[in-house]
Amino acid sequence: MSLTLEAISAVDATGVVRSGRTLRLVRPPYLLRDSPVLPEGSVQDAILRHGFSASQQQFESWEGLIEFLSQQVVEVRRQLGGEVPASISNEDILEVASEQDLTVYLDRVERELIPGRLFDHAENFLVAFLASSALDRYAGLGRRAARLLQRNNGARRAAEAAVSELANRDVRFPSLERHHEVEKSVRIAKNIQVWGSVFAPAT
Amino acid sequence: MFDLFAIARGNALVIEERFEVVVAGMGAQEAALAREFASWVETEALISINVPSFVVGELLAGRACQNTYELAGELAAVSGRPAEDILRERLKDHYERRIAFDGAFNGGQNFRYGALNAGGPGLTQQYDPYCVVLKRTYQDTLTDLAYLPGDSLKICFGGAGASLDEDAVRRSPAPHSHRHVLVAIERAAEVPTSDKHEWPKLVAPEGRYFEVIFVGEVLLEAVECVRALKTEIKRMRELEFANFGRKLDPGERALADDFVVLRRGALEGKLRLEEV
Repeated sequence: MSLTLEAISAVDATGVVRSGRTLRLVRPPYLLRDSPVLPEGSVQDAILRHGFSASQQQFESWEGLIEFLSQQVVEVRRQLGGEVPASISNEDILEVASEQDLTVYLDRVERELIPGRLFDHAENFLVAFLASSALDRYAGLGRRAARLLQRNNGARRAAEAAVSELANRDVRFPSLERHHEVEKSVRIAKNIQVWGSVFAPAT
Repeated sequence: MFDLFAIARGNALVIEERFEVVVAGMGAQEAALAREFASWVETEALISINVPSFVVGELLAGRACQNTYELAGELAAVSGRPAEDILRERLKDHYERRIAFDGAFNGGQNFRYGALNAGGPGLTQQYDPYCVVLKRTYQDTLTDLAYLPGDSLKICFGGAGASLDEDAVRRSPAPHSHRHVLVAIERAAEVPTSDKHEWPKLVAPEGRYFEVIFVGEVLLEAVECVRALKTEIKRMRELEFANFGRKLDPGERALADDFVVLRRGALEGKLRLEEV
């Protein structure tokens, strides 16, 4: 795949990128649904009116392109006297969040994170929120957050219990068990470990 | 060399006459509506500049909004490279046209480019998602202001070549006192078929804006509000929520940090953030 970065706004890690015949605006968080297709002529507008820099840099992959944009934002912000922070404080995010933001976040915990078993992500958010000054401002959301934290913990425990039950039953290789091949497979695995290779050494 | 603002002031009477010709060709009701629209633009429309979130952070930090030349100058000071080289590298094929336009006017390198805005997110918000709307009291203090019925680089260059269309340069600009008349002339045919609540869209529909060229320093004190599309707020919300689950990459962190700064500025009453 060949990608051409036709214009770049380094200060916000954003590029106008040609992929085949399609011109796209590529910007954080670099999701396809956030990368609108642009009409031809957009490159000129971006450069002449919106402070983008012209480019003709080629990339073999989206990963390479995104890495380049990431390097550029760090470099140009440093030149302009700023630094891209090494991390963003969750407390800072919560401190300035609106009630609507927090409601959206709680909805996502309930509808996406817990059902998707993203327990750490959910817990990080809920614990940070319950300990933040945002709770003082939007106390009404606290009860829902606490309830979701309980639900998250319960779902995590249930998921962990299911995994450990599976491990105890040692049904990881049911087909080998059915064909009485477990012992032989263990022997082969040990040999591979010793030889450091799947091939037997010549004797 | 041209004096853009003197040309604009000199066009006042001609623009007034053109408007009278346009309304004379309308029915009484439509003509009245066109005049009402012009008055509404005069009252409501303000100058706006679309910028990336980084620039809003700069304003909040007490720094001024920079134009292309000022930014190149700053980068030149840091890197030790000539500002002209930085500009050439940045603009590449578009360098000649930019320089030909700005170089044709007295003080062209001091020009700031904005658009008239009477509500809504401003022009091509996908590149520069934050629309900085300037205060009326600020724009009333400006002496060098000109309004054009579109992109100056398209209006003032005939074809693909880089030669300036001097007739267009003389004919097109309107002074601040007649900005609303210029808008009413250009949108006269659309006013009768538009609901009044859609008038803001008539001032700056997608791709058809009124360019404002002015000279003046833009600091936070000059800012009436910052408008952002709901979709942009949603994008930033996604980034910030992701921060609870994973380490963001540098581009994401830069924008998330800008947004925290912007939000904090709004909470502290330093600027007004409007979701549109």
